[in-house]
Amino acid sequence: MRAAADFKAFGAHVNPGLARFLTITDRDLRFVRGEGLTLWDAGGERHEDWIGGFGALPFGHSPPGFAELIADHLQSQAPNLYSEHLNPFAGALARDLVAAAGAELETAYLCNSGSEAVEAAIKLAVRVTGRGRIVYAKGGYHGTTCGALSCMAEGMYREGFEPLLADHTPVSFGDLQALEAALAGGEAAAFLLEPIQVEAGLRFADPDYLSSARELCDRHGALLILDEVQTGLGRTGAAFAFQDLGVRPDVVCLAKALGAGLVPIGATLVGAGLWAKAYGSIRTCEVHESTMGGNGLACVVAREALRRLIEPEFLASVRARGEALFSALEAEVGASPLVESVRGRGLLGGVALREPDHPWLSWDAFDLEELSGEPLSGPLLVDRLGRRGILGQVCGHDWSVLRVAPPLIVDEESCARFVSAVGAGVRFLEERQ
Amino acid sequence: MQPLLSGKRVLVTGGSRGLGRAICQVFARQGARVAFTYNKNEAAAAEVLETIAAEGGQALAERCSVLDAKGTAALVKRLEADWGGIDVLVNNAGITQNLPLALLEEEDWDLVMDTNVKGAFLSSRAVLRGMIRRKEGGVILTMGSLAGVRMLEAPIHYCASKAALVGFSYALAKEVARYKIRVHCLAPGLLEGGVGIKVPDHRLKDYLDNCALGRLGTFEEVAELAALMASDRASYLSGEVVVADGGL
Repeated sequence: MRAAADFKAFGAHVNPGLARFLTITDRDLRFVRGEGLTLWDAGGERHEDWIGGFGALPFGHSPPGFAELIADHLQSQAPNLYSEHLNPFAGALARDLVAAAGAELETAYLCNSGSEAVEAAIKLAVRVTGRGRIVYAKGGYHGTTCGALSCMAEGMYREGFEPLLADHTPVSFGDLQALEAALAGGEAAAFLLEPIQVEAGLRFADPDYLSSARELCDRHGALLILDEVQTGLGRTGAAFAFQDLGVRPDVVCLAKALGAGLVPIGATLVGAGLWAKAYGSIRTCEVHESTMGGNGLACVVAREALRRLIEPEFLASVRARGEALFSALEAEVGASPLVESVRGRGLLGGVALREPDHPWLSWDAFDLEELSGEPLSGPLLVDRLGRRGILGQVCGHDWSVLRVAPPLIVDEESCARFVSAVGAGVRFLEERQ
Repeated sequence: MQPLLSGKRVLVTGGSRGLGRAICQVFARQGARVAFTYNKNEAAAAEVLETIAAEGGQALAERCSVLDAKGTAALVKRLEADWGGIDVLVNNAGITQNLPLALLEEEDWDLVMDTNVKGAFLSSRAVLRGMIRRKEGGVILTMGSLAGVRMLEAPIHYCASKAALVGFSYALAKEVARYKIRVHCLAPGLLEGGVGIKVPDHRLKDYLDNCALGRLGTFEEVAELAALMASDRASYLSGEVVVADGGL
């Protein structure tokens, strides 16, 4: 690690609350090196990263080949920004993205994050339909900008920021009647949802639900927007989750894995004719823009990431590894009274837990009363994993679910260690309750 | 005035970070030749050496766990050969884990008790062998904690280990007094950057509300007191637990 790094300054100048929480809970680790799933702290201890940047590290840390790619690109002295001119790197990436997606998607708006990709989708839908209302599935997570947050029904991410954007309408995930009712007035610009609600605790959309939602959107003139920021680009063992679900979206939001954990980038893939309808005129062609969005360096990295992520052999390995992993987890802890279910697709899944039944296993007992009301089972299991050198995390909206979404290059040995650690952790909690 | 520890030969366990680092620096500033051990962080140890050297002091560092009895004994022998003896041992190496009772495992208990208590025993025994043989007296200064002498909401294995060091110091003081060796325990309260950083905000507030000085201590302040206790100016002090908590 180079001298520009300053761990103490993070607590003072970046996020004091997070730094404090990490310190109080003995998780204030100082990582100085990473390779694959392995992180080394300042004391030389190894840790295995099963958080994986919440999906943004598909190839793990320091992925091979990218340093050379980035160095080559920078040494070429190609312009990085093409502010008012044709951007060949954005062009190449967008071409490859829509080709990989298929489904009549033809345009890619390039930005810097998943939140921005969702913002772009919302604005595009409003512009295309002339309607202001977005219908969205409860339990989703679409980012923390005001527009994206307006499509998150409840929870701590939203608290304190209301009223946000008016008229956005939540419907229960999987509830077609509610969706039809919300779309029926003809005021909805779009229906926005994730094919798998990750932060809600890994809730999987049924293919029939999605195809019916498609029909309802068509019937009522609304766009179907799929947020594939977490599910897209190989995570489920398909290039895009929607491809396995047999649904044709109008708009697809991407980010995370696209940057290979190295560059910030997001993309909004847009169906045929829609971009032109929204922003096709000379007057409107620059009304939704991002200064750094589509910069040359980010696009070069993203294009290489995309190339690797959608290779058939790579996708097959994700499917095979995921099947083995979730089968092993089921065998290890599926019968535990503390485990509600183990579920996954590709390398995206979770272990849903029941709350332990003992007063000494409570936030109050741990002197963290302000978290009372949140499930403790997931954080406790995360803590147990940490004690075995495995970094894990719970789902953002549902802390009773341990998310299981490692870097896609995870190997068999690492999976075995994870399964063993989850088993030991669950058994420990069983004994303590 | 002559520096407090002029000519003293000092071994500090766990000297690369936090309070141990401050003790090394203050002791060197006060004229001592300092050797310190560290467990893992070589870069931090190198920083301490650089800082002491920049101030004109003398120090050396050795990677050695306090639980490594052979390694500790070998280090002590080497220092005795090079320096002619050790005058002061500071038992500083120690750890804590922020674990409530429900999550505390037997191995956690053993780790903290071993490091904090057995480590002090092993280092003290290694140093006392030569110290007693030389008949020149000496000082064993062990770093305790407020958590070992007061009823605090803190991890029980840590509190137990620090309380054990009080008993250790009392008994050792009595046993080696005949050789003119003084033994103390210095028990700090919450210090900036110390284990207190893991205390939740409301408990920190309680501490500050009840502390006469109304603030946390610093490593430097405790190290200065340690230097005084280790010096000949504290020649009539032994078997004492000195609590430095800002008046709680």
